[in-house]
Amino acid sequence: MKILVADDSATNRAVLGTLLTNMGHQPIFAENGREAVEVFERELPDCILMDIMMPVEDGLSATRRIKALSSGRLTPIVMVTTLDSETDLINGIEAGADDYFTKPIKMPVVKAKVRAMQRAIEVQRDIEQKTQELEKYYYEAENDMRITSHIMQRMTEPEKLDDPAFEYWLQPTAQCSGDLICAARTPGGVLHLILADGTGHGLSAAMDVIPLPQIFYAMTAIAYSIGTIAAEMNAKIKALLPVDHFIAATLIAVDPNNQTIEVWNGGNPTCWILNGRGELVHSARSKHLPIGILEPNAFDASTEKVRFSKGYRVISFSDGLPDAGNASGAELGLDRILSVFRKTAASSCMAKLKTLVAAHTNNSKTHDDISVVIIHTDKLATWADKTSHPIHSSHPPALSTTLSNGWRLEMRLGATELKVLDPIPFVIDLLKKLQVTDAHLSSLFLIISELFNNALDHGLLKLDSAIKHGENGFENYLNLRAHRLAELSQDATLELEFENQASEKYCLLKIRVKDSGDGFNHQITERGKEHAELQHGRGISLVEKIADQVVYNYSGNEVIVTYSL
Amino acid sequence: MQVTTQHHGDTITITLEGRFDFSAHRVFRGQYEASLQVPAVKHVALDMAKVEYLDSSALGMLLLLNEGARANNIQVAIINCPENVMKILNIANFGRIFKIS
Repeated sequence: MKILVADDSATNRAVLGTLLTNMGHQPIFAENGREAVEVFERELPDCILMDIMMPVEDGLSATRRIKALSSGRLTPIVMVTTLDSETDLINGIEAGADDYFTKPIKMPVVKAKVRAMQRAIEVQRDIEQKTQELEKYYYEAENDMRITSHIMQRMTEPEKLDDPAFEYWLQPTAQCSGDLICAARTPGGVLHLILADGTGHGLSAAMDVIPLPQIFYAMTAIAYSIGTIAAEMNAKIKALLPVDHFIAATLIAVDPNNQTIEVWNGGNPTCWILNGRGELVHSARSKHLPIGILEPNAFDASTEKVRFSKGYRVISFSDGLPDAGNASGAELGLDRILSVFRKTAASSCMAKLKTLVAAHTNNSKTHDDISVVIIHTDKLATWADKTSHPIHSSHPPALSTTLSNGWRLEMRLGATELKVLDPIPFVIDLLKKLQVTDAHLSSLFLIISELFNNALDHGLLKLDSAIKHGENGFENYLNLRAHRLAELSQDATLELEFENQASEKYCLLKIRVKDSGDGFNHQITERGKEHAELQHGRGISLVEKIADQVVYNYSGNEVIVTYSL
Repeated sequence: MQVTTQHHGDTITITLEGRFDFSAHRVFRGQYEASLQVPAVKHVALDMAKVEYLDSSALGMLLLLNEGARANNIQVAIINCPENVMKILNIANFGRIFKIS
């Protein structure tokens, strides 16, 4: 240690200096208080032995000044005095001295006091170093949070959440949230939404959910179903995250054309479907393990689907909402949340929910991230709305002839493929890559999916749309469909053909769909349009509206649609 | 959280007490890793009777235990779950991975 000896007596300086040198320390000297302060500033000693009675400036004054100068850094000062009085001791301690000894100097006492100071300094230095390390970690953690938060924001594409069809609320506990909400429309106008909750909260939870948005947006853009998207997310997350990390997620698809709500819920609280009066009509409870736990081959992508009518809403939230605790630890609970929807006008439910949480938690921070989504099915535009709208009643502006060399794609699917594969996303992806504009893409999606579904459901599976009517009709239809698909005969086939024909004057896409079934009577829809439009035939009459030409063969198992690009 | 273990025949019972959350990570991991190394153990029973609270990081720890157990051909059962613990395990559908009672 470098030890400053401030004493006006040359003898004392010599005695103490020798002693300290013998102890292995490095003594430096000052002859009065003022000099002591100067030497302190210049040499920054580790410890000071300070005489009280000195000329120019006494030890008490110098001690006060040194203590004021050395804020934050411990430099122990031991008072050395001949005045063995209590007043002197008190004055010294009040001036900031840490200990004292009296003259005449007794060597063992000085040695012991210096050793005690050394111990105090070592503890202090250790704490200082740890504090510095902590500060460094803290700074780094803050910086990591900032970067993660930035990446999260970019990846979730918040502008896509600006959609009149739903409201959302995300209240993170830390700078970056482990809760994630993403939403996008498929080319067919179906709203896809995901509400995900990574293990824990803060940085690691945010890291967990980072891979999700990209999968979600890329697959929604080419019309993959939410079940398939969930399966893809599971495979990716399982491969990326450590065993003890996973993501609770709810994926929701709201199809305004078919008036269906589809839900896949793995590990999140029950997703509620409410009718126009705010009454609970369906509970989509968690039926699956969260994402990232099961091996891909064990993953269950099955969803539940319900029909909606006017005024229906879908409510989904992370467990941070019902678990939000008040000062005495009582949770908000599901009943209180549900009653908000029963008692409040649809437009002000979210605001009411926020007030409820603020009041319950007394505006203090919750221990987990909160995220809530309310989907208003009434606010999703249907295809019927779009085609009746003057802007959409004519074709979108003609495409520059990037497709003009002409191409043809033919697909033939057997029973085995039809059971596991949805070919539409592949076709949409192809069209997208061939620079077909979004406006055309959504028309083409409607046409292709309608033709494909008709061929599969009515042509091969021989399902009658009339089953959909009446109590539980829709559910019965879906059950029967799943059953017949599983039993589909091995020689069943479905052909899809796409041919682009282009010249300087036109650019066409011909779509041919043929199934090996007996043919379904599309003419029923033609003859009884007014009835059919209302019920099951809406799809094909819409196809007729947006395509240039729709031609069925005689038996009705093959259709060719011509569409101008 | 307090973790105690009891060895009886081919079964080790790990009894948890208190809040089962991230702060329990080290003590829980230490105990179950030691338990999985005990020779001739075929079953691990996690007694949750005295668990007051369980969060998602606790679920993560259960998955770690499960993986370790599977590698050693050991069956894991979660027993004596209080209602609130059961609720969380049910929402996460952990019944598909563990025997829960």
